[in-house]
This record gives sequence, C-alpha cells and structure tokens, in this order.
Amino acid sequence: MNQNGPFALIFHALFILFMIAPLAVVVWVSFTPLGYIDAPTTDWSLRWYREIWNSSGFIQSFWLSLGLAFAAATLSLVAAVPAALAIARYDFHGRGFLTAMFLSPLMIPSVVLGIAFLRFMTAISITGTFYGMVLCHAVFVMPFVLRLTLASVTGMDRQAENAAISLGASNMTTFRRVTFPMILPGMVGGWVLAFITSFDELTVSVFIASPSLTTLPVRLFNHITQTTTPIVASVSAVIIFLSLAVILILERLYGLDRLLVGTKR
Amino acid sequence: MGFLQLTSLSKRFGTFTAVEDFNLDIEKGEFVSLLGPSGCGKTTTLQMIAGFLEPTAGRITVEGEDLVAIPSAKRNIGIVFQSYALFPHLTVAQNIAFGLEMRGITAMERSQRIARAIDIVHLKGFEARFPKQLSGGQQQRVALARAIVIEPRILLLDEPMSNLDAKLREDMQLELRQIQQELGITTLLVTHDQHEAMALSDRIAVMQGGRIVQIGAPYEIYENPSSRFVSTFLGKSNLLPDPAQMARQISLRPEKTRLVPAGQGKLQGRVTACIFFGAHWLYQVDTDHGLLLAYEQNLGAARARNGETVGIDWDEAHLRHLEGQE
Ligand SMILES: Nc1ncnc2c1ncn2[C@@H]1O[C@H](COP(=O)(O)OP(=O)(O)O)[C@@H](O)[C@H]1O
Ligand SMILES: [Mg+2]
Repeated sequence: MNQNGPFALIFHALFILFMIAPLAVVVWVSFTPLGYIDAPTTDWSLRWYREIWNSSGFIQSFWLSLGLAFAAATLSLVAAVPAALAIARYDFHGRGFLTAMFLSPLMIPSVVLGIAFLRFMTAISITGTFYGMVLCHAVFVMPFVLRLTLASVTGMDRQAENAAISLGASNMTTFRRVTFPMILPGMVGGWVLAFITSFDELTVSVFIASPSLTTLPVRLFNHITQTTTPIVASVSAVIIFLSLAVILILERLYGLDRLLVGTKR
Repeated sequence: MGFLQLTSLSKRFGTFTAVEDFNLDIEKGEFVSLLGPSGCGKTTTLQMIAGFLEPTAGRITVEGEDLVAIPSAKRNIGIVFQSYALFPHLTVAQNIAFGLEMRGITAMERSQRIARAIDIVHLKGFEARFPKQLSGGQQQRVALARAIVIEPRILLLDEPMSNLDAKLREDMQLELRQIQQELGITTLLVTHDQHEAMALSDRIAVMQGGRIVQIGAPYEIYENPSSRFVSTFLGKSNLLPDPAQMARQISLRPEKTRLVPAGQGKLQGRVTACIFFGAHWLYQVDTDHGLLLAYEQNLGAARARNGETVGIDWDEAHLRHLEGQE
C-alpha cells in the first residue's frame, strides 16, 4: 500500500467528519431531559428512551419495517436470480426491454412510483395489507438486487460450469454446486443493499402505508410533521446503535469486504 | 483403426463455417496437437469432442462407440481449460474430489485417488488452499489433477500453457509430457504455439481455416512442409521461386543456409540485420529474391556486419517444393 499524502489524509478526515457529525448530533440530542430538541450539556437523561418503550407505536413500526425489508429483499432476490441468469446468458427477444423494466424503479421518481403503487393496490384490492407492501417494496428494491446479481453472473467464468459437466455433474448439480456458490457473494450483497433500501424507504411508503401498517420511517415522518419531541432523536439513536451492532457482528463473522464488495477470502 | 476417430467433422455457426471436413485418427495413448493460428477452429473442434457443441455434420467415435449420442456429463473426458476454470469456492482437494463425488466413489477410495493425483502434479501441502491462494502454475496443476483423477478415456487440453510465463511454460511442458506418458492417457492438445506442439506431441495436425492442412510427426512436418502456410507457421522459412514451375515456391529453412564470402555461393546480398540469440546468430540478407533469413550456429563472433555484402549457400537436398501458392 502507498503512504497517503497529507492532503489525502485531510480529505479523508473531513469526509469522515462530514458523515459522522450529523449522527453524533442526533445521538447527543437523544439524551436531553427536556421536552424539545436541545443538546444537553449538564443534564443527561434516558427520558426519551423510556418514552419509546411507553409508546408502543414506534416498536411496532420497527418490527414491521424489519419484517417488510426482510420479505421484500428476499422476494426480489428470488425473482432477480433467474432474471439475471436469463439476461446475462441468453440473447432472447425483448431482453433489453426486460432489463430496462427491472431497473426502471431507479429512474422513476419515488413520488410517481408511490402513487402508481397505491392505484395498483387499490385496483387489485390489496391496499393496507402486509403482502401488498412487500410486493411494492420488492419492485422498488429490484434494481439493486438485479444489478449486483447480474454483475456476479456476468463476471463468472462460464467454463467452470463446463468443467463441472465434463466431470460428470448434471445441470441441476452444476447449478447447486458451482453456479450458485459462485454468484452467492453478489446475491448476498444485493440482498443487504435491498434490505437497507427498503428499511429506509419513506416516499413510496407514505403512499402505501395504512394506520395499522406504518413503517418506522413513515411514523418518524408523521411524528415530525405533528410535534417535535426529542423522541425522533432517541428512536434514530437506537437505529444507529443497532446498525453499529449488526456491522460489528458481520465484520467479526464474515468480514464486510466480502459481504458488500464480494471479494472472497 | 484409431482409438479416437473424427470423421468428416464440420461445425457451422449460421453461415460461418468454423470447422470443415475434419478427419483425424488418434491411437490409444498417443499425444496429438492441433496447431494453428487463433480463430482456425481448434477450440470448436475440442468442444465438439467434449460435447459442449454439437457437430453440424460428421462422426466422433471412441473405440468405435458413437460419442455424439452421449451427453457431455457421461463422456468421461478430462478437460483442462485455458482459464483453468477451477471452482473458486472449493479447496484444491475439493476441486480434485468433484469428479470422483459425481461418480459416487466412496470417501476412502476418493482420498486415496486424490492423494495420488496431488502427488503426480507435485502439489503436496496445498490441499487446503483455495485457487486464489495459488500461483498460475499451481492452478494449472490443480486443473490437470482434477482432469486426470477421474481416469478419463481422453484428455483434452485447450491452450493450457498460454497464461504461464516462458520459463514456467517450458517446465510444465516437460512435466505434462512425463505425466501423459506415465499414465498412457490419450491426449489431444490445442495450441497456437509451435514450440509447445513440437515439444509435446507424437503427431501434430496443422490447422488452417477450419481444416487440417498437414499431419505428421513434428520432425516430419518441419522437414517436409506441404505448403507455404505450414512452412512459415511451423518454424521460419525462406521462400524462393521454383525455377521449374512459375506458380510454385520452394522453402529453405534458415538453419540450412551458410554464409560465404561475397562472390561465392548461390545468391548474393547485403546484410541488413544481425541479431544475437545466444545459441545462434540471425542474419537478414537483402537479395534478388527479397529478404532472406540465415541462422549461423554460435561458434564465434558475428561473421558479417550490417551493410556488408555476403554470399549465401545451401545444399540442394534441403530445398522443399511447396504445393500451390497458399
Ligand atoms: N458460438 C459461436 N458463434 C459464432 N462463431 C463462433 C462461435 N464460436 C466460435 N466461433 C468462430 O469460429 C471460429 C473458430 O473459433 P475457435 O474454435 O474458438 O478458434 P481457435 O480456438 O482456433 O482460436 C472463429 O472465427 C470464431 O469467431
Ligand atoms: Mg481457442
């Protein structure tokens, strides 16, 4: 590795500061004992953490968002793998169209997408159902999953499959023992990205959420539009701590590089 | 009758003919190379034998049995790919075990055969490594071990050395030849490297534009090239006009010539380049018949300098009359 010059070091330090500072402020504010947004200096309190516990809404929304992100990421992965294999390997009619369609949620403004989803859900009367939301989120996160899966399918040495076949493997065994493990890093990376995107998604969810099914970002958003208590800070802080914990565990178990960049061992 | 027989084999991609009327008989235990420039149809031929491509016409038989009817997974052919095509998520031992597992061989026998294959390719101690943790030469040994451990009827090698550096390539060539002879395995190698083909093969089949243009033992082909293409692709060659037939040419190998003092010999010319190769000197001489190459064994310092006029001489017995213009 090269030694970083002083300019690069300063740049990186500023960049990290720029990323971390807003998070640090949120965490700071979350410890205020006061009833409005304020950065505590002398008095620190866990009042707003207790408040999360008391208002069941946020916890309920957290579990909903978690379940939704999990289901949506998984569903879109299940659809993306065969699509990626077909797009990367076969030159069929309408291939470009199919690819563009799968990637289109990335190009359409979220507001437009949200309204379209709402209309669609009403039309087939699945408005306000969990499965309807899963379906919409799966479509929304599809571009991320497809891009990463496609990259790993395209980057894979197809001769490895021929090698497996010449060694006596059936097509099914070849997929299970060779193709699948070789594209797995891309699939996992896509799933993680999709999970984060879905968990974080606000604009589309605002349209398709219902009072009984309010995702965490939507609940936070609603809360901010009505009042501004530091509970938004404490909820955000909890999410930050949870994310940190997950990242640390993943780093310990697998190494983040492997998971997100797809480098193997 | 040959062990592996390719009869009037052809392969067309749409209107493009990649392999045409290809005939080749390989004896059991023989090492044959397909030698030709890039794009002449070598890989296509190999893939038809492996079963990854279906011939447009023609037959492939092993011991008289029709191979085309058998799916590739059942052909029992070992293949070493140019990219090695190792399974990156499996260790060296697991890579080699793959074919044995597919054959339902017991764990006991499996570990014995893996150990033996690893021994043959000199990879002891690397069993638990992943392909990424190996050098190019080591990866190639794994690919070879994986192919021979299944005791295939035929071993196919598609430019296996092209990703190795020159020194390693020479070592691997020697080793490959030894392993092949030890196991007595019928082998077909594809290469565009004339040195590789000559060093390894019992016979070379020179290919051009999807066809075999000449086939024979390396020395035989080198000494008696049938066409201008063979004479220049396999080694270097000086092409002289044939005094008997205007349209024909004569091939004269550069090492069969002698530099003689000006005024003597069969041709006169001016030296335009003099290059030292270690074992020999190469002279380029501008003559009435164009630029000729002459090799002189390194028995001392250069015999002629740039710009000097020299004579070139040779024995008539070394001239080879070529068929046609190609
Ligand atoms: N699937 C294919 N479709 C169309 N043309 C092909 C295909 N595979 C190979 N070819 C063509 O056939 C010719 C021979 O290819 P190949 O057998 O790979 O050559 P070599 O291995 O001798 O370099 C090349 O001109 C190549 O472009
Ligand atoms: Mg080739």
